Amino acid sequence: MKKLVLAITVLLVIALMIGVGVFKLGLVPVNADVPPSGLETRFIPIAVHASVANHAEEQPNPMVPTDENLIAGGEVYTVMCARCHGVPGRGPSVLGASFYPPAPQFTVQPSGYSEGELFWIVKHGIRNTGMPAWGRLLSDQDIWHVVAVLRRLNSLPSAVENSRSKLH
Amino acid sequence: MKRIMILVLAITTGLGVLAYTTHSAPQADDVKVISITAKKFDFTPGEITVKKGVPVALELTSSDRVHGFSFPDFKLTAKIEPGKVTRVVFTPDKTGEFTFSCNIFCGSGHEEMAGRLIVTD
Ligand code: HEC
Ligand SMILES: [Cu+2]
Repeated sequence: MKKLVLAITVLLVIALMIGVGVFKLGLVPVNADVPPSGLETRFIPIAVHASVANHAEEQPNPMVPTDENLIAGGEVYTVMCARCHGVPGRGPSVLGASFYPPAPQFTVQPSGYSEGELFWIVKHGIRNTGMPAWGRLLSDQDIWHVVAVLRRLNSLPSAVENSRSKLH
Repeated sequence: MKRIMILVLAITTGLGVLAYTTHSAPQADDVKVISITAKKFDFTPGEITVKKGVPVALELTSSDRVHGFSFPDFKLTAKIEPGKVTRVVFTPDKTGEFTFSCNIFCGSGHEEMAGRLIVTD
Protein backbone atom coordinates (compact mmCIF):
# COMPACT_ATOMS: atom_id res chain seq x y z
CA MET A 1 0.00 0.00 0.00
CA LYS A 2 2.73 2.45 0.97
CA LYS A 3 4.65 1.53 -2.19
CA LEU A 4 1.60 2.20 -4.36
CA VAL A 5 1.10 5.68 -2.87
CA LEU A 6 4.76 6.43 -3.42
CA ALA A 7 4.63 5.21 -7.03
CA ILE A 8 1.53 7.33 -7.78
CA THR A 9 3.12 10.39 -6.17
CA VAL A 10 6.29 9.96 -8.21
CA LEU A 11 4.28 9.55 -11.41
CA LEU A 12 2.23 12.68 -10.69
CA VAL A 13 5.37 14.71 -10.00
CA ILE A 14 6.93 13.50 -13.26
CA ALA A 15 3.75 14.34 -15.19
CA LEU A 16 3.68 17.81 -13.63
CA MET A 17 7.34 18.38 -14.51
CA ILE A 18 6.74 17.32 -18.12
CA GLY A 19 3.74 19.68 -18.23
CA VAL A 20 5.71 22.62 -16.87
CA GLY A 21 8.58 21.73 -19.22
CA VAL A 22 6.31 21.76 -22.27
CA PHE A 23 4.98 25.19 -21.24
CA LYS A 24 8.35 26.66 -20.33
CA LEU A 25 10.18 25.33 -23.39
CA GLY A 26 7.62 27.02 -25.64
CA LEU A 27 6.29 23.80 -27.10
CA VAL A 28 2.63 24.92 -26.87
CA PRO A 29 1.63 26.38 -30.25
CA VAL A 30 0.07 29.86 -30.09
CA ASN A 31 -0.30 30.73 -33.78
CA ALA A 32 -3.89 31.43 -34.83
CA ASP A 33 -3.59 30.72 -38.56
CA VAL A 34 -4.58 27.06 -38.44
CA PRO A 35 -8.05 25.62 -37.82
CA PRO A 36 -8.63 24.62 -34.17
CA SER A 37 -7.97 20.92 -33.53
CA GLY A 38 -10.82 18.39 -33.38
CA LEU A 39 -10.39 18.13 -29.63
CA GLU A 40 -10.77 21.89 -29.19
CA THR A 41 -13.76 22.24 -31.50
CA ARG A 42 -15.45 19.34 -29.71
CA PHE A 43 -14.87 20.19 -26.04
CA ILE A 44 -14.42 23.94 -25.66
CA PRO A 45 -17.85 24.84 -27.12
CA ILE A 46 -19.42 22.47 -24.58
CA ALA A 47 -17.81 24.43 -21.75
CA VAL A 48 -18.76 27.78 -23.34
CA HIS A 49 -22.38 26.74 -23.90
CA ALA A 50 -22.72 25.37 -20.37
CA SER A 51 -21.19 28.50 -18.86
CA VAL A 52 -23.41 30.83 -20.87
CA ALA A 53 -26.50 28.79 -19.97
CA ASN A 54 -25.45 28.91 -16.32
CA HIS A 55 -24.76 32.66 -16.18
CA ALA A 56 -27.30 34.11 -18.58
CA GLU A 57 -30.73 35.01 -17.30
CA GLU A 58 -33.47 33.37 -19.33
CA GLN A 59 -35.50 36.38 -20.35
CA PRO A 60 -37.29 37.52 -23.48
CA ASN A 61 -36.04 40.54 -25.40
CA PRO A 62 -37.73 43.62 -23.88
CA MET A 63 -37.38 45.43 -27.23
CA VAL A 64 -40.33 44.96 -29.52
CA PRO A 65 -38.92 44.38 -33.04
CA THR A 66 -40.39 47.57 -34.50
CA ASP A 67 -38.64 49.13 -37.51
CA GLU A 68 -37.31 51.83 -35.19
CA ASN A 69 -35.70 49.35 -32.79
CA LEU A 70 -34.35 47.22 -35.62
CA ILE A 71 -32.86 50.29 -37.32
CA ALA A 72 -31.08 51.13 -34.06
CA GLY A 73 -29.82 47.54 -33.76
CA GLY A 74 -28.84 47.43 -37.43
CA GLU A 75 -26.62 50.47 -36.98
CA VAL A 76 -24.93 48.94 -33.94
CA TYR A 77 -24.40 45.69 -35.84
CA THR A 78 -22.98 47.42 -38.90
CA VAL A 79 -20.58 49.63 -36.98
CA MET A 80 -19.52 47.30 -34.17
CA CYS A 81 -20.01 43.68 -35.23
CA ALA A 82 -20.16 43.26 -39.01
CA ARG A 83 -16.43 43.42 -39.56
CA CYS A 84 -16.04 40.14 -37.65
CA HIS A 85 -19.45 38.50 -38.02
CA GLY A 86 -20.22 39.36 -41.63
CA VAL A 87 -22.17 41.96 -43.60
CA PRO A 88 -25.61 40.83 -44.81
CA GLY A 89 -25.55 40.35 -48.57
CA ARG A 90 -21.79 40.00 -48.71
CA GLY A 91 -19.51 36.98 -48.35
CA PRO A 92 -18.19 35.82 -44.98
CA SER A 93 -15.72 38.08 -43.19
CA VAL A 94 -12.07 37.16 -43.76
CA LEU A 95 -11.13 39.01 -40.58
CA GLY A 96 -13.70 36.94 -38.69
CA ALA A 97 -12.30 33.73 -40.17
CA SER A 98 -8.81 34.71 -38.99
CA PHE A 99 -9.59 34.37 -35.29
CA TYR A 100 -8.86 31.21 -33.30
CA PRO A 101 -11.58 30.10 -32.86
CA PRO A 102 -13.12 31.86 -35.87
CA ALA A 103 -16.00 34.32 -35.41
CA PRO A 104 -19.31 32.68 -36.37
CA GLN A 105 -20.81 34.19 -39.51
CA PHE A 106 -24.36 35.13 -38.51
CA THR A 107 -25.22 35.96 -42.12
CA VAL A 108 -24.45 32.35 -43.06
CA GLN A 109 -25.74 30.62 -39.93
CA PRO A 110 -27.72 32.36 -37.18
CA SER A 111 -26.65 31.59 -33.62
CA GLY A 112 -28.43 28.82 -31.73
CA TYR A 113 -28.43 30.76 -28.44
CA SER A 114 -31.63 32.23 -26.96
CA GLU A 115 -31.97 36.01 -26.87
CA GLY A 116 -31.28 36.09 -23.12
CA GLU A 117 -28.07 34.15 -23.74
CA LEU A 118 -27.08 36.34 -26.68
CA PHE A 119 -27.54 39.38 -24.43
CA TRP A 120 -25.20 37.89 -21.85
CA ILE A 121 -22.53 36.97 -24.44
CA VAL A 122 -22.55 40.42 -26.03
CA LYS A 123 -22.38 42.19 -22.68
CA HIS A 124 -19.68 39.99 -21.12
CA GLY A 125 -17.73 38.59 -24.09
CA ILE A 126 -16.05 35.20 -24.34
CA ARG A 127 -12.68 34.70 -22.71
CA ASN A 128 -9.59 33.81 -24.73
CA THR A 129 -11.36 34.43 -28.03
CA GLY A 130 -11.72 37.48 -30.25
CA MET A 131 -15.18 38.18 -28.86
CA PRO A 132 -14.97 41.34 -26.74
CA ALA A 133 -17.15 42.25 -23.77
CA TRP A 134 -19.28 45.14 -25.03
CA GLY A 135 -20.62 46.24 -21.64
CA ARG A 136 -18.41 49.35 -21.53
CA LEU A 137 -19.33 50.43 -25.05
CA LEU A 138 -23.00 49.57 -25.31
CA SER A 139 -25.92 50.23 -22.99
CA ASP A 140 -28.25 47.35 -22.14
CA GLN A 141 -30.76 48.91 -24.50
CA ASP A 142 -28.21 48.97 -27.36
CA ILE A 143 -27.41 45.32 -26.68
CA TRP A 144 -31.06 44.26 -26.77
CA HIS A 145 -31.43 46.16 -30.05
CA VAL A 146 -28.51 44.35 -31.65
CA VAL A 147 -29.67 41.00 -30.27
CA ALA A 148 -33.02 41.51 -31.99
CA VAL A 149 -31.10 42.09 -35.23
CA LEU A 150 -28.84 39.03 -34.82
CA ARG A 151 -31.98 36.95 -34.97
CA ARG A 152 -33.14 38.47 -38.25
CA LEU A 153 -29.99 39.42 -40.14
CA ASN A 154 -31.17 37.86 -43.38
CA SER A 155 -34.79 38.93 -43.10
CA LEU A 156 -34.60 42.58 -42.00
CA PRO A 157 -37.47 44.82 -43.15
CA SER A 158 -36.39 46.92 -46.14
CA ALA A 159 -36.49 50.17 -44.14
CA VAL A 160 -33.96 48.69 -41.73
CA GLU A 161 -31.82 47.27 -44.52
CA ASN A 162 -31.73 50.66 -46.24
CA SER A 163 -30.58 52.56 -43.18
CA ARG A 164 -28.05 49.85 -42.38
CA SER A 165 -26.48 49.67 -45.84
CA LYS A 166 -26.14 53.46 -45.94
CA LEU A 167 -23.55 53.14 -43.18
CA HIS A 168 -21.32 50.88 -45.23
CA MET B 1 -21.63 99.43 30.45
CA LYS B 2 -22.63 100.46 26.91
CA ARG B 3 -19.03 100.01 25.75
CA ILE B 4 -18.92 96.49 27.14
CA MET B 5 -22.22 95.66 25.41
CA ILE B 6 -20.86 96.94 22.08
CA LEU B 7 -17.64 94.99 22.61
CA VAL B 8 -19.54 91.78 23.36
CA LEU B 9 -21.75 92.37 20.32
CA ALA B 10 -18.74 92.99 18.11
CA ILE B 11 -16.96 89.89 19.36
CA THR B 12 -19.97 87.61 18.91
CA THR B 13 -20.61 89.06 15.43
CA GLY B 14 -16.95 88.53 14.58
CA LEU B 15 -17.05 84.97 15.87
CA GLY B 16 -20.25 84.35 13.96
CA VAL B 17 -18.77 85.60 10.70
CA LEU B 18 -15.63 83.58 11.34
CA ALA B 19 -17.65 80.46 12.10
CA TYR B 20 -19.76 80.98 9.00
CA THR B 21 -16.82 81.47 6.65
CA THR B 22 -14.69 78.67 8.07
CA HIS B 23 -17.75 76.46 7.89
CA SER B 24 -18.66 77.25 4.29
CA ALA B 25 -15.21 77.85 2.80
CA PRO B 26 -14.05 74.22 2.88
CA GLN B 27 -17.37 73.19 1.39
CA ALA B 28 -16.71 75.36 -1.63
CA ASP B 29 -13.34 73.86 -2.47
CA ASP B 30 -13.93 70.49 -0.83
CA VAL B 31 -15.69 69.26 -3.95
CA LYS B 32 -13.88 69.72 -7.21
CA VAL B 33 -16.41 70.58 -9.88
CA ILE B 34 -15.46 69.67 -13.44
CA SER B 35 -17.63 70.33 -16.48
CA ILE B 36 -17.38 67.84 -19.32
CA THR B 37 -19.01 68.25 -22.71
CA ALA B 38 -19.74 65.18 -24.80
CA LYS B 39 -20.11 65.24 -28.55
CA LYS B 40 -19.57 62.77 -31.38
CA PHE B 41 -16.98 61.27 -30.72
CA ASP B 42 -15.14 62.71 -27.77
CA PHE B 43 -15.30 64.25 -24.33
CA THR B 44 -13.95 67.76 -23.67
CA PRO B 45 -11.75 67.91 -21.68
CA GLY B 46 -10.54 64.44 -22.57
CA GLU B 47 -8.10 64.26 -19.71
CA ILE B 48 -8.71 65.31 -16.14
CA THR B 49 -6.35 65.26 -13.19
CA VAL B 50 -7.72 65.09 -9.65
CA LYS B 51 -6.47 64.35 -6.18
CA LYS B 52 -7.09 61.14 -4.31
CA GLY B 53 -9.57 61.57 -1.48
CA VAL B 54 -10.97 64.87 -2.76
CA PRO B 55 -14.61 64.54 -3.84
CA VAL B 56 -15.22 65.24 -7.53
CA ALA B 57 -18.44 66.44 -9.11
CA LEU B 58 -18.59 65.86 -12.84
CA GLU B 59 -21.12 68.02 -14.62
CA LEU B 60 -21.87 66.23 -17.85
CA THR B 61 -23.61 67.73 -20.81
CA SER B 62 -23.85 67.06 -24.55
CA SER B 63 -23.64 69.43 -27.48
CA ASP B 64 -25.23 67.13 -30.05
CA ARG B 65 -27.13 63.99 -29.04
CA VAL B 66 -27.56 61.52 -26.20
CA HIS B 67 -24.33 59.91 -25.05
CA GLY B 68 -23.45 57.62 -22.19
CA PHE B 69 -20.92 57.83 -19.41
CA SER B 70 -19.47 54.55 -18.23
CA PHE B 71 -16.77 54.48 -15.58
CA PRO B 72 -16.48 50.93 -14.21
CA ASP B 73 -13.34 51.65 -12.15
CA PHE B 74 -15.55 53.80 -9.90
CA LYS B 75 -18.80 51.94 -10.60
CA LEU B 76 -20.45 54.91 -12.29
CA THR B 77 -22.81 55.16 -15.24
CA ALA B 78 -24.92 58.05 -16.42
CA LYS B 79 -26.88 59.28 -19.38
CA ILE B 80 -25.73 62.55 -20.94
CA GLU B 81 -28.43 64.57 -22.65
CA PRO B 82 -28.24 67.78 -24.69
CA GLY B 83 -29.54 70.83 -22.83
CA LYS B 84 -29.24 69.10 -19.48
CA VAL B 85 -26.53 68.82 -16.87
CA THR B 86 -26.05 65.40 -15.32
CA ARG B 87 -24.12 65.57 -12.06
CA VAL B 88 -22.00 62.62 -11.00
CA VAL B 89 -20.34 62.87 -7.60
CA PHE B 90 -17.71 60.49 -6.30
CA THR B 91 -14.45 60.39 -4.34
CA PRO B 92 -11.46 58.82 -6.07
CA ASP B 93 -10.10 56.33 -3.54
CA LYS B 94 -7.15 55.04 -5.57
CA THR B 95 -4.39 56.60 -7.65
CA GLY B 96 -3.67 55.80 -11.28
CA GLU B 97 -5.07 56.40 -14.75
CA PHE B 98 -8.61 55.36 -15.48
CA THR B 99 -10.63 55.39 -18.69
CA PHE B 100 -14.28 56.39 -18.98
CA SER B 101 -16.22 55.86 -22.19
CA CYS B 102 -19.47 56.50 -23.96
CA ASN B 103 -21.75 53.50 -23.56
CA ILE B 104 -24.72 54.62 -25.60
CA PHE B 105 -24.17 53.87 -29.26
CA CYS B 106 -23.84 57.19 -31.10
CA GLY B 107 -22.62 56.24 -34.56
CA SER B 108 -19.55 55.25 -36.47
CA GLY B 109 -16.71 56.38 -34.22
CA HIS B 110 -18.50 55.57 -30.98
CA GLU B 111 -15.83 53.02 -29.98
CA GLU B 112 -13.20 55.74 -29.80
CA MET B 113 -15.29 57.99 -27.59
CA ALA B 114 -13.42 57.90 -24.30
CA GLY B 115 -11.57 60.08 -21.81
CA ARG B 116 -9.07 59.70 -19.01
CA LEU B 117 -9.08 60.52 -15.33
CA ILE B 118 -5.72 60.74 -13.65
CA VAL B 119 -5.75 60.46 -9.87
CA THR B 120 -2.64 61.65 -8.05
CA ASP B 121 -1.67 61.54 -4.39
C1 HEC C 1 -13.02 41.54 -33.22
C2 HEC C 1 -13.95 40.58 -33.76
C3 HEC C 1 -15.35 40.56 -33.16
C4 HEC C 1 -16.22 41.59 -33.06
C5 HEC C 1 -16.00 43.06 -33.45
C6 HEC C 1 -17.43 41.03 -32.51
N1 HEC C 1 -17.28 39.69 -32.29
FE1 HEC C 1 -18.69 38.40 -31.64
N2 HEC C 1 -17.39 36.86 -31.71
C7 HEC C 1 -16.09 36.96 -32.16
C8 HEC C 1 -15.45 35.65 -32.09
C9 HEC C 1 -14.03 35.31 -32.50
C10 HEC C 1 -16.44 34.75 -31.59
C11 HEC C 1 -16.28 33.25 -31.34
C12 HEC C 1 -16.06 32.94 -29.88
C13 HEC C 1 -16.13 31.44 -29.61
O1 HEC C 1 -16.00 30.64 -30.54
O2 HEC C 1 -16.32 31.07 -28.44
C14 HEC C 1 -17.63 35.55 -31.37
C15 HEC C 1 -18.81 35.05 -30.85
C16 HEC C 1 -19.97 35.79 -30.73
C17 HEC C 1 -21.24 35.25 -30.28
C18 HEC C 1 -21.50 33.80 -29.89
C19 HEC C 1 -22.28 33.16 -31.02
C20 HEC C 1 -22.38 31.68 -31.02
O3 HEC C 1 -23.41 31.18 -31.53
O4 HEC C 1 -21.43 31.00 -30.58
C21 HEC C 1 -22.14 36.27 -30.33
C22 HEC C 1 -23.62 36.23 -29.98
C23 HEC C 1 -21.45 37.44 -30.80
N3 HEC C 1 -20.13 37.11 -31.04
C24 HEC C 1 -22.06 38.67 -31.00
C25 HEC C 1 -21.37 39.83 -31.36
C26 HEC C 1 -21.99 41.13 -31.46
C27 HEC C 1 -23.46 41.45 -31.25
C28 HEC C 1 -21.01 42.00 -31.80
C29 HEC C 1 -21.12 43.51 -31.99
C30 HEC C 1 -21.62 44.25 -30.87
C31 HEC C 1 -19.77 41.23 -31.92
N4 HEC C 1 -20.04 39.93 -31.64
C32 HEC C 1 -18.56 41.77 -32.28
C33 HEC C 1 -15.47 38.09 -32.64
C34 HEC C 1 -16.02 39.35 -32.68
CU1 LIG D 1 -21.28 58.77 -27.69
